[in-house]
Amino acid sequence: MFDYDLNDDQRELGATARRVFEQAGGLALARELFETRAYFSRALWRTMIELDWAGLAVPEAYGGSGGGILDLYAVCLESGRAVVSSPLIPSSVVAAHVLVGAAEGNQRVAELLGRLASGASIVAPALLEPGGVWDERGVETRLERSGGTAKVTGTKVLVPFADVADRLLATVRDRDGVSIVLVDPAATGVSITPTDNLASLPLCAVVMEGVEVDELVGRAGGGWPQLAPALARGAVLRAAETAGAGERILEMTVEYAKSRQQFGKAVGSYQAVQYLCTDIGIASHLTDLLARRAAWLIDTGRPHQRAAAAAKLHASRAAAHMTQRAHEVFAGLAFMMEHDLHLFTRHAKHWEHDLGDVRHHGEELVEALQREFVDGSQR
Amino acid sequence: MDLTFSSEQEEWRDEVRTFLTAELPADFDWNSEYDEDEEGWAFALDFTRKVAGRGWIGLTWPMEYGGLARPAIDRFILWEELIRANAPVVNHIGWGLAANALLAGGTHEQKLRFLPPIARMETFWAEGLTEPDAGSDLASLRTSADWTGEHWIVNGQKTFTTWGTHADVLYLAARTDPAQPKHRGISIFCLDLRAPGVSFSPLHNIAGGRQNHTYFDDVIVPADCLIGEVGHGWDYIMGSFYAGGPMGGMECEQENRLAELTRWCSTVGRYGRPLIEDPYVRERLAELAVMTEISRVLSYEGLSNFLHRRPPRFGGALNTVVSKEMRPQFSQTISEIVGPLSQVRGESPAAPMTGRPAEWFLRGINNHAGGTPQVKRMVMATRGLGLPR
Ligand SMILES: Cc1cc2nc3c(=O)[nH]c(=O)nc-3n(C[C@H](O)[C@H](O)[C@H](O)COP(=O)(O)OP(=O)(O)OC[C@H]3O[C@@H](n4cnc5c(N)ncnc54)[C@H](O)[C@@H]3O)c2cc1C
Repeated sequence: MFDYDLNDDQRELGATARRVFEQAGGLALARELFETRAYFSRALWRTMIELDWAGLAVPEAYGGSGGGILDLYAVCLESGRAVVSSPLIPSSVVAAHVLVGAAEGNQRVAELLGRLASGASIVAPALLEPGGVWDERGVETRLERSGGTAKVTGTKVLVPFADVADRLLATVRDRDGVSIVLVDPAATGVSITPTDNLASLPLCAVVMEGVEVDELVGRAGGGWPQLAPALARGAVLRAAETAGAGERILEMTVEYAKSRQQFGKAVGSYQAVQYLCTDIGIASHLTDLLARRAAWLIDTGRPHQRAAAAAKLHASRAAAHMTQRAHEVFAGLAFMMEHDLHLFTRHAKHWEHDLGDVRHHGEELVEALQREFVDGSQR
Repeated sequence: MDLTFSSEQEEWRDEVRTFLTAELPADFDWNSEYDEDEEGWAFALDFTRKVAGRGWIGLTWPMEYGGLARPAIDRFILWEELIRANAPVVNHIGWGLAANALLAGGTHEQKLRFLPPIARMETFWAEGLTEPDAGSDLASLRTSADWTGEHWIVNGQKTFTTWGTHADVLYLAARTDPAQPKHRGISIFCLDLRAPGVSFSPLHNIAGGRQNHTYFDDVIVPADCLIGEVGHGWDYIMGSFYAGGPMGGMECEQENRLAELTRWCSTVGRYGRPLIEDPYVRERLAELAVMTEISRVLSYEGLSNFLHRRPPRFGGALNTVVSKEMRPQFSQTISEIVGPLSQVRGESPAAPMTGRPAEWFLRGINNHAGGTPQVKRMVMATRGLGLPR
């Protein structure tokens, strides 16, 4: 029957996730990680692994639980709500999806995927370069193949979890176009430097100079078609996190607007404040609806490019908008570190730009329109 | 209509520029938000003393109070240049709010006593208006000053006190008569922050600076430290925010950022061409340029109104509404142009423009100090448009 809601199992998964993230410390944990620049909680990640979330979307054949994006969606709403920093989206979704596509008949990839799914390994997607472009044109890292060896030279930025990853999954370019390789972060020629960023997230600069790599993951020059659906999955789940965070921001803000009195009235009784609060509710709810539909389209194998791009574009805007609106309501209070809102604001800046920013998804959307209405094909 | 400055005024501008070029290192970069940056503060204090040494702090004040009795337009030009140079001038509360209140309501003795040390940069001031329960509704403040027959005894708490721990004197609003209606029982004091009974606790802000909670426990304030008349504090507060005349500013800060960003966009490549050739970037840069022009015209209009004693439209609220609403929008637009790397901070090699977009973003969040945009809209609607309250 027609139903826009997550199913019972997914809702239960969400409830578990909420409990797990709260028990791990919730916003207090996020604050501690931010203040101590600890980047992420290994203990929480271990708990997530024990719950089989590292392999949630990996097929059972490779050691995962064969779940879908909507299952992860339930978890990501909650990870956004508690501003959890974990390898879930980069490793268990983006990298995993690329590896799944290349695992058949490739023993090494299949093994890595198994380790990823079991939580033994983190695979960090190394995609973005200093130009800051999320699409294929942004890949300038060079691949040189001669005889039996392949070498990679280039710089990747904002690579999540690179300093704790087992392998980096990097996009590279040669005359065939863009391909995907796995880089051992410990290999000669790789240098990894954590990058100081607004949210103190584990984002690293990775410089590779003539780094030897094994054979390609997938087809030479076929990297982008392999990566694009993985990026779409990651982007939709970032949108889910944004929506989850938005719900929490909405709750915090409405609660404050009800209790904070000025001029003898709750500030929430002023229409100016009502507009701010309703703005947050609108942005957050629409992000959820857009992203949830995109996740469903992905899970049911339907064309999803437009829906996914629109969802992340909206989420990127919403991330900035919702936090800004909330700051307006809290005024001086939330400009201070002791209030929790800034944790959301900082992470929102990352979500806004991660796995495609407004600029990128605008392009994606228009390209999808062209394919659909000018070229006449849906794919 | 004439938007030119006279040749004397242009000479004055040159004089200020020459001074700034001589005094500020070429690669100068300082953020007054970084309260904990000792070296930066030492330099800022030293620099401000040099400005004071020229007599420029009290530029427009009467000679007898340490000023140079120069016209308001000279002060406007001075500020345009200081901000253009990102000069580390401090003690804004002293030469701004406090001096304005003293000039408007202080006795001759008080002016003689308090203004010359401000002009010489010998006293540093903080502002003690906001309380935990009195933000936008400032008039509901509860910090009390009780008259013993000899002096005032102050008790209570202020919050968000910027530069509290750096300051010597607090521009304090306290309730002197709880029996009066709330706007009328308030008086303004110059409170010695070194006096027994004053204490602070820190409020670290998200842009790297510090505000404070300021506590008063039976702090004795001498009778002659009450400014003007008892119970007239509200008028001084309202009157002194803008009484000193307009200062150039916002447009110069935006112009600086726009210049830096435009240069950056022409050196950095994206999609195989300089960023500046990307239509998306061009469109966003144009938005920033329009915002900068808006700040400029508002600033000039304010100056013109002041010089010709014309009452500003909309109860004078339009300028604050627009600039407050623009502030976060400006830094968000920059972040969208710069892209994912706009979240990178500091000296990291990956940081565009040495991490300034990230700093600007955090600072841009603060548009509440001195009144929120929502309240300013309300002022514009009621006082400016005559809409019912
Ligand atoms: C960085 C910083 C530095 C500061 N420095 C100082 C300082 O040195 N000294 C000092 O005294 N103060 C200082 N302040 C305090 C500042 O002036 C207050 O934050 C400001 O007046 C707003 O008060 P509030 O934060 O309590 O917000 P509130 O008044 O609690 O406002 C909460 C929300 O309610 C809305 N609201 C309130 N009343 C109405 C209404 N009637 N109609 C519609 N909406 C309404 C507001 O717009 C806001 O959205 C500083 C603040 C900051 C952020």
